[in-house]
Amino acid sequence: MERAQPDPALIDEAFVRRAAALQGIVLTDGQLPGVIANLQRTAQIAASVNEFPLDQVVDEIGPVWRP
Amino acid sequence: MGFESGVGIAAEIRSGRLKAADHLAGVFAGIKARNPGVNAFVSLTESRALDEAKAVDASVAAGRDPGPLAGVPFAVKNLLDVKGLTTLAGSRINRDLPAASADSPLISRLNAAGAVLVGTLNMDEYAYGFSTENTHYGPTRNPHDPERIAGGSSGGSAAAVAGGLVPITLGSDTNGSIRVPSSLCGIFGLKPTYGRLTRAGSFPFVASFDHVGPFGRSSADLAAAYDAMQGPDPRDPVCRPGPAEPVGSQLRLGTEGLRIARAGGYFEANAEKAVAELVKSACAALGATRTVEVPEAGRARAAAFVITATEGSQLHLANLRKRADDFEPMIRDRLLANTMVPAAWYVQAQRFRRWYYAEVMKLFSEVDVILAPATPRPATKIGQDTMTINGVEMLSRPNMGLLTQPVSFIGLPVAAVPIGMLDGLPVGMQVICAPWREDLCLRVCAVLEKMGVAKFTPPKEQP
Repeated sequence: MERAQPDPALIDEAFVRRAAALQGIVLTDGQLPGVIANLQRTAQIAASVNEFPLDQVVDEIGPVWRP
Repeated sequence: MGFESGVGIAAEIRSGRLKAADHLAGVFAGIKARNPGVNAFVSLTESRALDEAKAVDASVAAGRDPGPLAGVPFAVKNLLDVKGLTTLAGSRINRDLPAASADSPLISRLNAAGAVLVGTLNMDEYAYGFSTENTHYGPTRNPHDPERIAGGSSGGSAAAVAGGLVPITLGSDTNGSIRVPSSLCGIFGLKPTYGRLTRAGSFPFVASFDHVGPFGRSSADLAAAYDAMQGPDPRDPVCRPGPAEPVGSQLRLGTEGLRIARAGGYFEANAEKAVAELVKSACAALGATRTVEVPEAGRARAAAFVITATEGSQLHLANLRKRADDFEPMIRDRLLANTMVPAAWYVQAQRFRRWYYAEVMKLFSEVDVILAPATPRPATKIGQDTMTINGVEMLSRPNMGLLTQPVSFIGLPVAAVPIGMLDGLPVGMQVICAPWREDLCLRVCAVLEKMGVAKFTPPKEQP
């Protein structure tokens, strides 16, 4: 299954203010630039994981990790 | 005084040639003289330590066994519970919490082995960092160069050992927080297999990756502390049931018959050439000629980043809602941003983890030990924002863990060993083994130490 790739450009002031509000967080103006930059960076890093093809059944996560 | 080994101190005290209380007085004098130069300690436990030392001396006088670590001073990262102290975890916010009502079981186990707790140590706030540039408690300084970071997040734990303040400390490692400071301070550190040592009584960071382990200036001290702390604990759901598997007696078994390989690919590309050359020299000393490529190590690091972001921020969600500005300024915006990571990214990262684990286990059917650099380079300067590795400029703080994250991501046991100095600054190597094979990690350490390839080098100027 193809996964939608995160587009860092989608992460702007309007998005993070709403996403924060969904979590009950009110962002201040001083926090905003850092929050946007950090979430954009995470989106770029997550992209390489999100594009990796996995078997949906075999690669199930476990509730307790026991190597 | 200052650089004696823990097992050496214990031998003197066990024999009656040295009193634990007398030794302790010198330890506190040393800490008070040297700590201002490194800022490793956050609090001292003098009264308690004296009681513990006197109990050790009483045992020796009565002919009872005072334990294998009799009178050995140790200190802990301040995310481990110490009865009567608030578990700060490097934060200002936790000052509002009540004092811990009991010790972490790892402290209790070291006490039971005769070791003496002397204090708690500085760290990155909530263990989220690789530099211990803590705004609330000040930066911990590298004993080899006070203008440079000690690494993190267990920076106080590493600096206290490298600076000769104590022989043994405890820290935690979620993405590299034992191995990075070990490398940058030039000491030995052990991140055991995920689930080997109980995490009960420790302030969490990322439940999927959190480990606790020891630091020391030799493999013998690491093994002694590690052996004393093993054992099941139902209070930690991931702690392995079953008996301890002591490794101390196995350090002399050598490496004959072990299939040892060097990690190429990602691990070579993300280390400075001089660091990679030191790892190659260590491999040559061990007769290891094979190179292996850990599959998708870069993606593993990315997945560890996503899982860390998600679990780490959810842990602090209540305080991020109420008092975000009380968090460490260097991580506040990152934590806030991390609360918005979509669940799909997190689940994909966890599923990738399952795939990656299976692939790496295939590698361990071909080799027993994988050697890799622990950090891309030696310590950066305090306040330094970027670094350049092989021509690529990157943020220095998050990327100091580039080489450790793909390993802790699947909970493999790793020892960090100091393998050389570059322009007066130490750098370390990871000795990585299959799950539950800490014995092999420490056997390789001991052989490298015996050869003189791995060794602690005291700072030129004492802090």
